Amino acid sequence: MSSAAFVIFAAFVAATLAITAWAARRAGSREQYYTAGGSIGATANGFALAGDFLSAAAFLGVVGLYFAAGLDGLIYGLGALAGWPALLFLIAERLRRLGRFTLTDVLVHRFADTRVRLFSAAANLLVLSFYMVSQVVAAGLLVELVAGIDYAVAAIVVGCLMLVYVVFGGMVATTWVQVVKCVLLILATIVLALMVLGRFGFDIDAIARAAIARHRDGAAIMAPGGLIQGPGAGLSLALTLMFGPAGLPHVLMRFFTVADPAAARRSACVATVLIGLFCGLIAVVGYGAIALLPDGGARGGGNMVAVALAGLLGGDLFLGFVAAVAFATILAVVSGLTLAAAATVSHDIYRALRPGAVGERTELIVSRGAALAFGVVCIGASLAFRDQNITFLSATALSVAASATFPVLLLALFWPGLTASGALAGGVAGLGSAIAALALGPLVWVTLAGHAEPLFPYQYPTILSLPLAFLAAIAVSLIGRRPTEMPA
Amino acid sequence: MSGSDGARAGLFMLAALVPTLGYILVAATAPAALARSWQGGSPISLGLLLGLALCGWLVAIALAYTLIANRRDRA
Repeated sequence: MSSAAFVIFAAFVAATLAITAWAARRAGSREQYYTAGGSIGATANGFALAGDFLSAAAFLGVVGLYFAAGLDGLIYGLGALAGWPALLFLIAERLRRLGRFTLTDVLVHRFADTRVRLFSAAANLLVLSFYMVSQVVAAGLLVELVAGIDYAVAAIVVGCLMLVYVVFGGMVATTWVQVVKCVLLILATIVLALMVLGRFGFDIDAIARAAIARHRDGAAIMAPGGLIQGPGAGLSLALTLMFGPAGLPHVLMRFFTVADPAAARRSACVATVLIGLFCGLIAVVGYGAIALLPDGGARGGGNMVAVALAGLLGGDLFLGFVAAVAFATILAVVSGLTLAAAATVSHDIYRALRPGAVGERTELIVSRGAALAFGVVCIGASLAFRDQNITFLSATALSVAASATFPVLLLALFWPGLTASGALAGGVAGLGSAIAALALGPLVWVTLAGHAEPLFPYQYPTILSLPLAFLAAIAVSLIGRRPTEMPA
Repeated sequence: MSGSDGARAGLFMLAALVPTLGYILVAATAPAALARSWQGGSPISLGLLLGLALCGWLVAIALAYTLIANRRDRA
């Protein structure tokens, strides 16, 4: 690791540990620990929401996708951005109005049904686990590559720091770490885009011409490439990207950290603006990388293109800054994931299984223990999954979120006719079909299992599993509705 | 939340969903249509320009929805 990168990274860690020490004094109650007592402002929460979403995949992965295939990077980013207005228009206000600490609270508010609570909690844990392992694997690979530190050591360092934030600082620390990281990430992207523009005299056409001249595919980088093969694959990818975020527990939990539904709405709007700004800037960075970097890209492959471009344009100091920001990005995201998992275990599962009232102190002890256990299990899994396809892990998380969580949540928020059995049927149908289609699809059936042809043709199963979840939830609700449950 | 608020949310949702799905489906089925230059001689393709414009549109409707809802709250 260059000395610049080390100093910048050490400064980030010191600042975030100071935030955690400050937050630890404010994490004594259940409200403070899970949701910062609803004390986070709308703007800060918007930055934290955007930070949750702008993971390493968004920063490093999308620049790599531009570098490899040009316009496909924009298509991927656009699909992801479109999920945010969906969250703003459909979910944010209603969720804040009905929930208290976790996503499952909303379903419990509608149905006092232990089965629904436990299923929702289990689906959330599955989503969080896949997302978490993919992030820790990415962190280990990034640090190994940039700093030359062993993968296992890097994964353990990430895990330990994350556990300090979550166990001691709760939601207050997790939110402010995410805010700091989001500001740094947006700043790094703005500076990188300005450097690219400056190199070409702020002439967009000149960047495009240089990129076309340099890339092996020539002018084809200005057209859609191989990301989407056919309308079915396109629709499935779009549904996953657009509705996956609306089912991610660590993202939805942030709407409980603000004072009221209006603040939830404003924070979703701030997040949309920031992610939209990021999408625009990253297009400049992506095409700039094609125009300026050698065709071979960077050591470490496509995922290191942004870091290599930073080194080319800003020297060692800026390379260090961007590498540290990329690492901080992962650290902040895994903290949010761990806190959401801890809250799911202690608030949704432990309270459901334990008869009688559960004291606040006991619940917090269980939550901190769950954070530790979740962290240890996921770090262990990341060591085992080191050579697994990171895309598969994060695709699974988004697909399950879009299929098992989003349909039931949307119906619970909007349709008075949804019954507990309908919610359960929708969740099971979405989850089961998503997992089955993933297992029979190209990523597992062909890439991992070595078969010649997939039994399910698309990489993302959402085109099948999302409608199936809606259908099952509606059909079971209509068939099984008892007279007392009929809406007035 | 009243019925008109729900209808407004639905309309805004359609305004986000339809053009985005349309863009991705055109990219999947007729990529050549997006590969054309947006203006004679420019290396920038129609697909790149429309994609970036769509990003701007999504941000704009998010801002518009929030402004309208904030005004409703104040009223």
